[in-house]
Amino acid sequence: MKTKAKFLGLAVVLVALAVLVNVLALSTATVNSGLTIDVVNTSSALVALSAPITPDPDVTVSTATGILQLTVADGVQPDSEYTFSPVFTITNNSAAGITVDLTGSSTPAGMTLSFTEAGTANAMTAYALAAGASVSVAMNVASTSATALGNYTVTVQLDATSP
Amino acid sequence: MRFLVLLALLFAVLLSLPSALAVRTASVGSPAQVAVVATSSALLSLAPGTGSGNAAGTARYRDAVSQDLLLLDFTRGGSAGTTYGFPPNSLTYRDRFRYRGLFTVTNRSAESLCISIYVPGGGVADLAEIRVRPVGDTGSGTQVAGAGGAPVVCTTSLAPGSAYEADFWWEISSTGGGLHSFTVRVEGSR
Repeated sequence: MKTKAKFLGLAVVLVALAVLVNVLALSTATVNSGLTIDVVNTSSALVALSAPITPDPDVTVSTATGILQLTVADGVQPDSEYTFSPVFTITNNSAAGITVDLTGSSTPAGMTLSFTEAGTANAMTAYALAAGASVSVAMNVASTSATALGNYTVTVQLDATSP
Repeated sequence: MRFLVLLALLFAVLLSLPSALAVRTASVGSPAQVAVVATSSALLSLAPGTGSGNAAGTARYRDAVSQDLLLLDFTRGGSAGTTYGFPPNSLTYRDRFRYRGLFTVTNRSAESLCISIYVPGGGVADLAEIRVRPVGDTGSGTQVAGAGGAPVVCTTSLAPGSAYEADFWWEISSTGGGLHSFTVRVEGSR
């Protein structure tokens, strides 16, 4: 009986020590997960934007600063609709398929930007892009008679989601 | 215990790797510069004709200074400020109203464009044809729209830097009066 009590006492101590170790481990653990993030040129990112091999000659496409930049220098007029094709290429360098949405924002009054797959009428809305696949994009610039003359910096917004 | 913790950490790192290689959500904003310019200097530019076909100013800029838009007003005639019209049933008298060189279309883009000038949806009473000619050409040119302004298959290509004159041919068979309002579309395509 005395031996049994000692054994129980020892067992209780062991459990207490185990809990203590556990608590100590959780309270002092430092987790280095090896996470590395590279900020790279947009042409080599996971969702990469790059100039097409033969871009529309009326649009200047540059990724020199690491950001895709489009310039329609010669201009459109009010109450007009221009389609420039292709203006850039999207490549899915990630390991999974994605859906892509392209929108235009910061446009002046009366101007809308829309995007389609170059050479087709497929809108770049919920556009499925498989892993490793690319798509060339055409940009439509439509303005109304209310669009004022001027130089505008607008934003082409790409949103990608893995289903 | 330490081994178990390390093992758990290893699993956590391994499980996170596929997530790092795949994209869950990404948003990328790219700036684009777009110039909105006078219609007389745009990529596909329009300008009122300077010949006798536009002597009344039928084709004119909405704003003469900024030259932002081109308007067509077929009620214009010899006296400024007075509105005119076509006489009803004028075909009886074999009259046709032909506006030669009403306006010009210049291709300022970097590639050849097939030019079409038409009325979306057509249906403009008494509008017989729309034609285009190289500037200065005295021939009848190429038809780009038929009766009512409906488009025909584009067959005429305009080289970069070149210009066409647009001709509007009216043949009035209507017997009643009325004022029509419609949109003329100038389209350049590869």
